[in-house]
Amino acid sequence: MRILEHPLIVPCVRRAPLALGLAALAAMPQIIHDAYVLRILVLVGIYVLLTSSLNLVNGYTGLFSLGHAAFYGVGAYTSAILVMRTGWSVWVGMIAGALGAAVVAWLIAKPTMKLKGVYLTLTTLGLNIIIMLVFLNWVDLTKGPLGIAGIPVPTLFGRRLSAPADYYYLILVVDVLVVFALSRLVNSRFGRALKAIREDERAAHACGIPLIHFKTVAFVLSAALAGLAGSFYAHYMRYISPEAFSYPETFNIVTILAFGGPGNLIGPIVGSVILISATEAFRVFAAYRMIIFGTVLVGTMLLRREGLLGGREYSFLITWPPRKKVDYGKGDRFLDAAQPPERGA
Amino acid sequence: MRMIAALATLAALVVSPALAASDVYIGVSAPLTGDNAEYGNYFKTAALLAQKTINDRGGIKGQKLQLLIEDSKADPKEAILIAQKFVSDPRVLAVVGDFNSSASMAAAEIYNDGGLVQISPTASHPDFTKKGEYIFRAGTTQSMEGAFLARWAVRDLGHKKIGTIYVNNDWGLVANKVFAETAKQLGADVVNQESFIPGDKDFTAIVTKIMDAKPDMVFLAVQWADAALIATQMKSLGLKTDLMGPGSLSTENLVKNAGDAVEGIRANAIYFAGDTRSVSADYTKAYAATYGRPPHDHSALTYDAVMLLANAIERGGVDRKAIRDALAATDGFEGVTGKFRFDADRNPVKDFSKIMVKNGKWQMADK
Repeated sequence: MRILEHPLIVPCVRRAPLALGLAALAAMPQIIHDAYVLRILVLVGIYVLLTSSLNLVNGYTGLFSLGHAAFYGVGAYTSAILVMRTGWSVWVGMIAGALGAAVVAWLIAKPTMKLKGVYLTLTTLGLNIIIMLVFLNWVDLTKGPLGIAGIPVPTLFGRRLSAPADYYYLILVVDVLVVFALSRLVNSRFGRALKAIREDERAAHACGIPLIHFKTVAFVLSAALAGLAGSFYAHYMRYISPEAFSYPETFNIVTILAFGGPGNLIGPIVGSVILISATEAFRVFAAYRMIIFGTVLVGTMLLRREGLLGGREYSFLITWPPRKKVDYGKGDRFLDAAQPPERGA
Repeated sequence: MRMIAALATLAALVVSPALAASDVYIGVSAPLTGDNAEYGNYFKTAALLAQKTINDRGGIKGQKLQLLIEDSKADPKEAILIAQKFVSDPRVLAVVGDFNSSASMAAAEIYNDGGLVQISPTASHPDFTKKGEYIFRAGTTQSMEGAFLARWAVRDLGHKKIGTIYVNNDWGLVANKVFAETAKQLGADVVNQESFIPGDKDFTAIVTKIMDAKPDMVFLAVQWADAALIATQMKSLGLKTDLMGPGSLSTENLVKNAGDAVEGIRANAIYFAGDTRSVSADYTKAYAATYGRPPHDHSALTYDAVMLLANAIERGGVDRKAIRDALAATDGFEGVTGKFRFDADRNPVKDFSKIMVKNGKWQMADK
């Protein structure tokens, strides 16, 4: 066991479970040939992206936005329309989708990030409805209620990516990159500032954190990632229409986040995996499945209000070598005896 | 643990009893939960009734018909999962669904690539069946109704001067355009085409304009509530002319609201409860007897979709490709909603029932 504690080996050991997990995910299409299961996993992948991006605002910054499906939709429409009208590559469309959503979010953030609590929530909800109505009524651009059909699929090195396994790998790569970037972001100075805002705005402000600026950046970043998810959705489903981006979709995303546990990176992933596969697994209950689904949600919220994994942060790396028990000085006992018992109050 | 055990038991109870291997399977994808559950229920009840009818008369070539009914919530994301499930399941020979255009169109990509027939009773998007040669429609679109009504008005009823009133949205626009173009081709003179914005309640200006042109007939590409107002205002202004409109008018509510102002109004029916053809009358009776309520357009179309597939399986055999070819070659199939054949784009070509209000009731029209 000595060798495992060698300074060159330790980082490898710490990353071993993560690497194994990623390898298992990468091998999935080789093991599972059932296209139905792969499509469920693709859907899980889309929700991991959506939920993780919302987590940046609702989980880390402590704002309560209810407009996430709007950015998801802006990404989908921007990408689909751009690629179909100009014939550009789908990859350009995906970047444009993310940028488009970011621009819309920035325009909206200007007036709304000054709002607090329920006012911000209602404003973002209203925004979601407005954007849905734009999709519905700007017929020349979006084809209104008819939706946009025949959206092209991405190509890579001349190969059309249209099989479920192709989309699985694509969303897996996107998810891994995004979660990795988020893990760097939330542990950076910026990320710690967001958490400070969440815990106590006034204290954060007093420490010199520019509240509105940081909130705006978090909001815009989150929208850009939602836009990326929307673009992926458009080129995966190949047909989009306004109702897919209406506020019930926002509630779906918020539900998954609340269920999985906001404020850490694993919660959104676990939430997406469980809730998306549960809706499929509950098919055996036929018409009762949404009732059972709702019961599971209510039960979870009663037993764990902070969501399955909420309330603390996790690392993707394991602790190695195992921490030795450090024997701290016992001198405080002397003080304990001397001080009045309500010290902690 | 006990909770899980209980759920598992419940699951075992709900899952349908052991399915025999030699049966014929048809998939149904419909919104059984969510906002559109009401419509999905029409799908389900009608499909089950069709299954019972087929199995009571000896099944399909002696094999029992089994349905696999899945809930899509009318959500494209769920519809494509169901589509993949059906495509991957070798037992499934064809699929009825989905309810709305967005779920149906997203799923069509997968059905068509997988070589499995998808027939939607209700998706009305004009491009739906253009998704591929495995994609069919049992229901009709605005343009089919418009053309049918124009032929009825000009060729059968002999109207020469026709005015039209339409509601200015995508639905009304298409209905009016197709009607007016077909009527002109057939040699009629379309004297006015007046539109109004959805929500308008006062039609006196439009009616006065139409009165000046003295048409033989006015075509109303509107919903029944607007038609009731228009007919009432025409009566009070003293305009006496024949009236005609699409299937949206064929409801008792129109007669209830407009009374004798709509006496003699003509419309096509997608499904007409008073249809006297035996297939339709039998269906209406069986549906009401089984479920204790009258059937609906959507259930009639779903029933027809299942029957069309059963008919195609009988002719083509138990092979997905052969079923597609047999379905496309359907000619003269007597359905509840009319006599079917399919055009090159796999849209149904069928004669609608012609109905009119006589003595304050919708009845089959004389001609």
